Amino acid sequence: MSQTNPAVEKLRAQFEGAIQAESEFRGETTVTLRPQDLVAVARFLRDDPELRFNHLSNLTAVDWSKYPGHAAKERFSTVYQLLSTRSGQRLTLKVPAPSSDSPIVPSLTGLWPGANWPEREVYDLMGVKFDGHPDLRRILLPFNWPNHPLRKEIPRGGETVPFSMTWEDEEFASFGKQIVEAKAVPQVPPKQADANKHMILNMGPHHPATHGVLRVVVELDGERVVAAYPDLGYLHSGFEKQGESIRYKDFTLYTDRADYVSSMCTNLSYSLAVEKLMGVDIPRRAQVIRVIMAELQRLASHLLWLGTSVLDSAGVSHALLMYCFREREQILDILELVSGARLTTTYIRPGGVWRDVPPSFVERVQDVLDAFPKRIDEYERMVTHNPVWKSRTIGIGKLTQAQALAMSVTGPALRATGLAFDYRKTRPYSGYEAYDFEIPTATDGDLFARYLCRVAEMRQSLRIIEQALKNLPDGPVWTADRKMSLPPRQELDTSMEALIHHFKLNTEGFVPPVGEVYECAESPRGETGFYLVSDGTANPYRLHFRTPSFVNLQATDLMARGGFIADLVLIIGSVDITLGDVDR
Amino acid sequence: MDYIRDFFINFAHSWTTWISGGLPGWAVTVVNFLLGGLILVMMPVIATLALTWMERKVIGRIQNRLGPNRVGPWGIFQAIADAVKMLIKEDIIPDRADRPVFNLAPILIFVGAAMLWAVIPFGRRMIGQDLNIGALYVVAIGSITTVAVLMAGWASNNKFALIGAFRVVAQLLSYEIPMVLSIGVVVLVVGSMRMGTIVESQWVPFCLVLPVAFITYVLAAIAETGRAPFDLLEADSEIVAGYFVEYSGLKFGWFYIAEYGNLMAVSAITTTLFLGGWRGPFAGAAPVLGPLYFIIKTVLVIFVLMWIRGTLPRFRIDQMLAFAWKVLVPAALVNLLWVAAALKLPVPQAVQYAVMLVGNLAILGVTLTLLGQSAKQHAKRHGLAGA
Amino acid sequence: MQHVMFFLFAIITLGAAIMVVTTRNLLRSALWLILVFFGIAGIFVLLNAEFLAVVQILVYVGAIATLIIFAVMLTRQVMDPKQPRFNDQARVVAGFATLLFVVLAVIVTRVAWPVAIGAAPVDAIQQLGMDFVGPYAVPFEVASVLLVVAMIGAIIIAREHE
Repeated sequence: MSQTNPAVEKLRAQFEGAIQAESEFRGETTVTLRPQDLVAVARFLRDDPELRFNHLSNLTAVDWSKYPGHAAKERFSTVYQLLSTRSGQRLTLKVPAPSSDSPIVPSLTGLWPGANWPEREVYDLMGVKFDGHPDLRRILLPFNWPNHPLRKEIPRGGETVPFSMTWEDEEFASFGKQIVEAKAVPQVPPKQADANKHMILNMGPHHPATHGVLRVVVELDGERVVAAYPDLGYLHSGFEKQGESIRYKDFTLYTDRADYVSSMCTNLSYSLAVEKLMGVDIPRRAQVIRVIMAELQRLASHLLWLGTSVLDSAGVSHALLMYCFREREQILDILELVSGARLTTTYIRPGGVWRDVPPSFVERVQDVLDAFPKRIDEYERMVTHNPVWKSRTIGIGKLTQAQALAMSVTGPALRATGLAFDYRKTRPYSGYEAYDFEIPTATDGDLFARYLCRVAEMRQSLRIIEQALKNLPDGPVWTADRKMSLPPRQELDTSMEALIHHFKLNTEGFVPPVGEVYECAESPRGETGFYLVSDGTANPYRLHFRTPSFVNLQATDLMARGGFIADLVLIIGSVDITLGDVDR
Repeated sequence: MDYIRDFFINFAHSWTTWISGGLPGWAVTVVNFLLGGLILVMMPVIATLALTWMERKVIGRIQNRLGPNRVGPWGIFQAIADAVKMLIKEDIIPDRADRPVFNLAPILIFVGAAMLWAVIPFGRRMIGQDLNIGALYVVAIGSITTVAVLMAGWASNNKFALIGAFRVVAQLLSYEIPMVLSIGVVVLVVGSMRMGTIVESQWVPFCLVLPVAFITYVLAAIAETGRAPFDLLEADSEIVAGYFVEYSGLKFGWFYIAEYGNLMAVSAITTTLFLGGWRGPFAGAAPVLGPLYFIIKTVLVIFVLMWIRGTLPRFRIDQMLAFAWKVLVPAALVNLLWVAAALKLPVPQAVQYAVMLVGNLAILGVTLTLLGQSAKQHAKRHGLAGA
Repeated sequence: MQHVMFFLFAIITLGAAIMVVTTRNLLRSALWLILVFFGIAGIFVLLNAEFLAVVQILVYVGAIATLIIFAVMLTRQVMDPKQPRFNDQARVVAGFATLLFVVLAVIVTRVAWPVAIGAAPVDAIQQLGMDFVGPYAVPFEVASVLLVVAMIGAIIIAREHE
């Protein structure tokens, strides 16, 4: 199989000896490279006119120290998932870091500026340094955190927390002096901000326009934004570390809590990743239900975005927020109907969906389909043609297609630059290839374009739901594969093996084969992906969670520079972040 | 019956006669002045109590909600509950705030809001002080608000407050000009700055004669009171609350009261200048109806302002200033010239008014066309011609 | 009664004026200056010149003082009370100030001020307006031209940065 991958063939031809190994698992090729060749290989992969792996979709690292059969090799390796937005091909690069004590690999920020934050995250959590990184600091944890928690020797829980809310803290040295002596304000990041020339304004972590506990340190020249430095980690809760110590199926609960306004879509991404690792097939009915739920969730998420985005630009008095909430309520009721929960659904699970939908489901979804087109028209009348809204959004927060790709931006923000890149079309999953829908794009890459894309996506989601609802097949909603599904009740009475199997599945959980996969799905915010490394036990050896909010938020600075504070607020809104999704 | 017909004035006379019985002449004056002053000073407070409830209800209905409905019937005591809450809240003064200035600002802003009421005619002869410079006085008092806001923004030692204060200066100074120009048009037509005379001479409401001046004034007034879509000085999603972000308890309350007092005052002045004040059917025969008409018209204006608040996004600071200087000021200036010319025509007043109306409509049409074209160009520049 | 009010306003004005020059905090100085303007406005009211009083507030408090405060807010170093109060031009300025004071004192004491006899007209504004476009049309227009020139100059200075 591996010999047939043209990308690897080309690489072999181009870079003599650079490829240390290559492997194939579940149809995905992984190439192991020498560290010194990484940048050259990545540049070749990105720029080669035939391959054009132009999207750095994921960047993470693995600590192999406790991995069976890995004792003598390098302890850390960084992992890169590259994707061609044109062909949808994916290639995984793996780079073993030379030293075990202070592992260091070359940085990819020169090729993809968007590798900045993911590399900082790897440094923060894993302690792998990146050579050539412009600003290698901790990103999620406090600057004085004593260890790199994703390393295997660090226990989960019980660690001392170096938070000290005392007046001796560095942060408080300048407390209350902000206006009198602007230079005393902690500069974030210290190298870039010029506090003597500009005003440093701290927006957040408690600020109404940051949509959660995001802190944005804004460098201002009058009302103009010179630079905006997002400061993250206020909601960091160590999902990845937690994921390594619980069973695969138990982590589904955590995926709800990351992107808490589109939990169905995150559930779906995780389930896809686990199912790929297990190699199981999902019955048709479950797939169609998944599509309906994911699209409903997309509608709900976009509605919330629309309401809060207008809120950012108009203040609490604007009527649209409540209108959007009224519609979202209708969808949340359906989510509650099928899963029992409105926000943290855990409905789509590895193996299928939790339960079959109740009989009234079809009718309720039909109500949504009947009501929504008119409602969306109404919003468009309220907002799309509103001169104030247009003047606030047209030409603001521009991002070109090249910039968006360089920053690894995905989702509506990327599509607003004119690239029709959507995983539902590029790498269809859950049977999306069977539906007739379009990927809305706009050419401008500004706030208005993003707004138009999202509104158009809502209409497309309705189209998908309508088709799915019409063709909702009968049948089971859980996989028949015995690796993941419990034996039926009647078998337990007759078969000892079935009983043991039942017991094992319920206590230990399902056990995937040794291997590693990366799988992602198109969430309302962009690419939500999971990188799973299995060591053949029921717990993931490594679980990395690639969230669109985290990666897209990086582009804020780029978009906000030169604009006004008022624009910055709208730009943060247009990225459509969920802080749970950013910090995890 | 005659007593009822002009109840308020007659009642005031009876009252004066009654206290004259036991008091010397100067004491009567002092008592009456104190009473009148008290009523005027209470106006912003009354306005706040009434308007917060109304605003919540109106915005609530616009937003598909019920609004307050727990405290008292239809929630009418909600404002009182809020007032109690405000009274018992802790008064926080930020570390390193400029204390005297910090404490003075809320007082000053309230003074500005209260003083406006001195020249507002509630009905025929029902006016605190019919100053011969009434219209100008209204504008001058507005500048006290500016100073108070600047003081608050500075003294809070908070960057958001400081940005709010900067915005206030830019916004209030810019919008004072179209405001003065549109008031100037009315003064020109009436030939007096007395608020009483302005109302008396409106046999047809000036909003029907001078729509440009009316619209300019209302827009400038929204900006002066800092309400959506011009609420940049306190933009909650950008600079959190702007200049009064550090205030709490009753000091915050003063800002709140000043805000609603100003809203009501501005609506009352709009009514006086453009909607014929207390004039209405039978108001001449029964002046007691005057205040009723006055309040109805004022509430109508307030309702429109709330409606705008519920439906329009906020402007950005540069757009807002550009709107003042590039749209409102030229339109108001042209209007002023046109009206001055029309007044020189040797024809009856009705014909003069008709000429003014025609000119006003023309200015309105030209302004709107130009605005539409520039919006189209803006969209085109960014490649969204069809959007 | 009038005299009491006059002295009250005079004390407010002069006291605030002294505070303007002695306060170390520049912003407070500007605020004291506003009080000075209010005191002067009060004296105008006592002189039956309501129009001037209102214009005093509108222009001096509303525009000039606001701009002064604005300028103060934008200068960071000047705000520090520890800054030296005098710079190297202090002596020259003191000399000119003394000279100005002497000249003003001479004018105030030597000129026979014509004191108006009789009450001021009740509605002086119309007369004022008539005078502006009548006998004083030329000075009025010259003042307008001066303002326009100043405005154009300001715009040009502001444009230079772009």
